[in-house]
Order: sequence, then structure tokens, then C-alpha cells
Amino acid sequence: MTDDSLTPDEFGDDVLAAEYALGVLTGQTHADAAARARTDPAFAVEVNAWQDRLAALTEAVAPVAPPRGLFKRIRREAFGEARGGFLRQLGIIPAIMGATAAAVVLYATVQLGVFTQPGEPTPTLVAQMVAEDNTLVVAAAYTDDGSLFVERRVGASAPGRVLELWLISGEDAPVSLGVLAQDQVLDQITVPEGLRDRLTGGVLAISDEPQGGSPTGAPTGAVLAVGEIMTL
Amino acid sequence: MTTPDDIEHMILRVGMGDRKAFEALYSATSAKLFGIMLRVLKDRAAAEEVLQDVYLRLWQGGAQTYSAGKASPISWLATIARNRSIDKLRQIRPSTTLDDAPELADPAKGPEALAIAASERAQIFACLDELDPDRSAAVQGAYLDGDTYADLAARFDVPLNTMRTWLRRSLMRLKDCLSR
Repeated sequence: MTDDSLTPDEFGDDVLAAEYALGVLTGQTHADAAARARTDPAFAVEVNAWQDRLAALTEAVAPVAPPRGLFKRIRREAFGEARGGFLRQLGIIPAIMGATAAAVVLYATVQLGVFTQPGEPTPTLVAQMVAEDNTLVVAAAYTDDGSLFVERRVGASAPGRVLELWLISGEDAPVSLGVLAQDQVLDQITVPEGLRDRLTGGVLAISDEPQGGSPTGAPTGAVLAVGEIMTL
Repeated sequence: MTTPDDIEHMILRVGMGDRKAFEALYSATSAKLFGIMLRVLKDRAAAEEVLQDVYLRLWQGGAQTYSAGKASPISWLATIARNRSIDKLRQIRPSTTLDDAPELADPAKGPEALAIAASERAQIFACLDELDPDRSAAVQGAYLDGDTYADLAARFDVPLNTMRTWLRRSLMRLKDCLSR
């Protein structure tokens, strides 16, 4: 490139900033301008101002929706996990973050607590569903005979409402595992045969529903607490 | 309608690692950015690659470089989209090309765009209209087609120095017009 031999400046830094923002410079002239934009705050401000002025040119460009699958790829790479869109749509992913630590605690309590009476099967899967504000904590333990023990440790349903338990497996829509009892803290739920394989690697969630449970077969009220199912 | 304030809020939340905000930002802005990328690159696969790269960078700390209230958040994102597209374009096509740029799309025909002051939109185009058509085309060509001085000199068949003088005067007139 021969930019170096261009006319000596009859213009000031302002126009250099414009040329740099526009991207027409090449070679040494470009390299010098780039170095100044990094080290000279006054020049950087000029460059920013020009970038904003020129960005208005993009207003003439029609928006185009990117392909549907693209965000899934971005998200997988950004978050480093494969779990699907459903949970995030509900906005409950942050609640999952503490689940691993919680499961360790739960493992100990499961071993010592109400779940493991002499002669009863040992849990193979556990989950702890915790509300973001800790107002609801529900522990669950699954034994290989198909029983899911669910213990409400903190909190209860709102007056006139019930708590409903859901299994979310991969990208699938949530499947109801039933409504939790209101008059006792411990439930024993028999997981339907067809759902047992989907527990591993899945997520349990609790939603707020009208009496009798969700009328639609999908969560209708707020998702109050969520926890990843951990393999022991 | 998503407002610039909403977008700014999303960018700031993304800078703090808020995944929901990242998703909201993507759904509010990806069509605009993808449109810019396609316009610059004229190649879907390359545009998709740049889109993925831009949002990943935003997530991985890029959003933290945004200064609240300093500039329009939409201009900021559009600048990133345009600049990364130009980088990609030059990677694909390092040499000068003489292809004519397609006509700019009529903004009125596009889908609902992000909220931006109508006066601002009108102003840059009104100011470009005050320039000679060739010079207006040179500014827009540089911005959206990634033309360098060498490309522009070839396209308009003038010496490099002449091109540079032309464009610099045009840029100064543009600035004067925009600050009126």
C-alpha cells in the first residue's frame, strides 16, 4: 500500500478518526490510527463519535431473522451445556446453579433420614428443588422400585393453591408427576414405568397451580423451585 | 416495542452474566445484526459465522466494554456487527473487487426495526443527499461494502490521492450537516 505518500494533512485528527471508523485506511496509516485509537483517549472519543454517526447507515438495511437453530448453537457454546430452551424460557436456570452442592448435602440427609429405613431400598437418584429466595425447599429421592419420595422441607403452597411436581427431561415438555399433599410434608409418588428412564439427567420442578393441579397438563402458574436430578 | 433503554439494560445484564438477558438481547437484536452481516458479506454461511462470533464475544466479556449512556446501544451493536463483518469480508476477499454494490434496501420496506429516533435516521441520509451522488456512494460503499481507498479509487477510476481528498471533504461536510 502506498497510503504513506498521500497528501499531507490539510485536515485534523477528526477526519483521520472518520477514515479510521469508516475503514478506508490501509497499511501503515491504518496501523498508526489503530494504535492511536488504543492509546489516545481524545482520538478514541472522535472515533467513537464517528462510529455512532456512521452506524445510522445501517438503518437502511432490512433486518433478517437468523436461522432458528443458530441461537441454540451459540447458547451451547456460551453456557457450555446442552440443556434445552424450555428451562430458560421459564427463567429458572439460575436456580439450578446450586444443585450440585445441594445434592451432596441431600445425600447425607437421605442416608440418615426418613427415607432409609432398615430393609428399604437405597435411593439411586436425588434432587433438591430450591426457590431462588429459599422460601421453598423440597427434597426428592428415587429408589429403583419406582418410588419417588418427596419431602417438603421449607415452605408450603399458597392458600387455595397446590404445589405440582414436574419432570423435565432434555428438550421435552414438562410431565406432571402429581400434586403434592397439603396436609403432610412427605409424599410417596410412584413414577409411571414409561417415565423412569427419563429421570436420569433430568430436572424436577415445582409449580404453583390451582386446586387439583394444572388443568392443562402443562405448568400454568409460576415455577417456584427447580433442581437437577443427581445420580448417587 | 423494544426501546434503546431496554437494549442498554440487556447489554449491562449480559455483562454481569445474566443468561436470560443474553437470550432477550439475542431475540431483540439478532435480526438487525444479521441483516447488517448479510448486507456486508452477501454470504449466508459467513454471516452466520459472524453472528455466532459476535454474540459469543458479547457473552464472554464483550458486553462489559459497553459504557452505559455513552452512545446509543443500538449504534454500538450495529458498529460491532459491521466491523466484524468487514473483518470477515477482508479475510475472505483480500483483494480489490469491482462488483457494484446492490442498491440499499428501502428502510420503509423492511420489517419493524428497532426503535431509533426517526430524525436521526432521516438525518444521515438527508446529509448524504447533500453530497455529490458519487461521493455519497463512496461513503456508503466504504461503510457497507468494506471498500478501502484503493478499492474506491479503482471503482471510481480516480487516483488514490484524489479519492482520499474527495472522501475527506465529504466526511467533513457530512459532519457539519449532522451537527446542524
